[in-house]
Amino acid sequence: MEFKDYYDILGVKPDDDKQTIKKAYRRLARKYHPDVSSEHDAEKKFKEVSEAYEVLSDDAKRVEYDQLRRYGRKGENFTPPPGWEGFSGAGSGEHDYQGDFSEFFANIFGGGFAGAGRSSRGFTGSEDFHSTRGQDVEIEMPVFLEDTLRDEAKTIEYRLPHYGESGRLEDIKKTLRVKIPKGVSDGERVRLKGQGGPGFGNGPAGDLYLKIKLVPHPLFDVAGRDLSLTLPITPWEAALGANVTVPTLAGKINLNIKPDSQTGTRLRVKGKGLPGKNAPGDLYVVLKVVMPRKSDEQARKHWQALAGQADFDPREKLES
Amino acid sequence: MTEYSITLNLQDLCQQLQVSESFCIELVEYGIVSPGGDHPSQWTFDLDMMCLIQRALRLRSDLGMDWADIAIVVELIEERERLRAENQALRQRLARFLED
Repeated sequence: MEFKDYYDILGVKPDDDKQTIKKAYRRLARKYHPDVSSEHDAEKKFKEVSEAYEVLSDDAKRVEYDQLRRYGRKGENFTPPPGWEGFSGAGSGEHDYQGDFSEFFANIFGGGFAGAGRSSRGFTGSEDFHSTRGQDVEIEMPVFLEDTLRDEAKTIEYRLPHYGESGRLEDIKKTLRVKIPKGVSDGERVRLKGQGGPGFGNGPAGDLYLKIKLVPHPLFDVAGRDLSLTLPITPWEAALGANVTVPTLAGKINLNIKPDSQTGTRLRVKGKGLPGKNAPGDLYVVLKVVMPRKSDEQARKHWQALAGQADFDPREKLES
Repeated sequence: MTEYSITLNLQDLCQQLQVSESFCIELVEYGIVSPGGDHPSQWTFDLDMMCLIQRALRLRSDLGMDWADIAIVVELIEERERLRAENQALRQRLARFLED
């Protein structure tokens, strides 16, 4: 196993006092806390920092660790010296701290059993191993916009952490057929009771949370319940008005474009957005006047005729 | 087919999070979550609120923050997430407008 230099992780010196260590921990915990941090490996760093503080903030563990530190160096493979019997039990109990800590920590300080893992109250273990509720598990569920139009059955596969009395075991693979309710929105969570990690002893299983992630659509953008579609139109459709076919999530519709329409004009199509708990959202069609890539000789003549007659200056506001 | 549920009452919520009712009431008083319903016996919490409370509990235990600070922090985190989503949506719309 890899040796962990807890002093190095917290950026403190081995002879620093508890107050300095606490200050360093607080600073790094704020920086890497997964709820606050936007660093990409925040969770991993936060676990390292928490593990280091767990050891260095506890006098007995720190003494124990300081003795061991003479035998190991950061990043090196580490084997406890012969006769080492592990953490002698100072502190507040056999399963004093049941976080999801490193192999190094588990080997030195015991606590191979990682308890219920990270629960709502932070890292908590269980004093009563035999009646612990299983771990809640959250997984991201990609959902296509079209699938929000009706209750949709999906098969999901996921892994559950599995703990035995001797420590973490191989993950359990689970397959489940779930109903994604009509009208779910991005970021919404669906709770599946009892489908999370298995409980210990008589403890109930945890829950599974599906966090809905709407898959970006090639045509439609989502804003709450409303959808928006950018609709390319020709300059003459914009000038003269037109009736064009427009896609919606639930099929095509005909849309009337008024004469003298502009790029950026938003047309509201009521009720053609995403379904909601009460009323559906709307579809906003945003016009985008597009020039042909190339004009042929005849088209050029028409443009020239227009240029000679039209009284229009789009740069009026630029002249001061 | 597996059944799903999307709201919890105060009792369910406390059981789920292994906290007391008075504890949850305190969180509501600090404005960290705003359940539906007028009276605690009628309160309903959606799953986002539950996750918000879990976040608040983590911030308290991991960073040693008090509830008043947490109320501000969770509000700012939500605001940041909203702005990020809005920024992403606007970039996407702009890209659709600029592309051929």
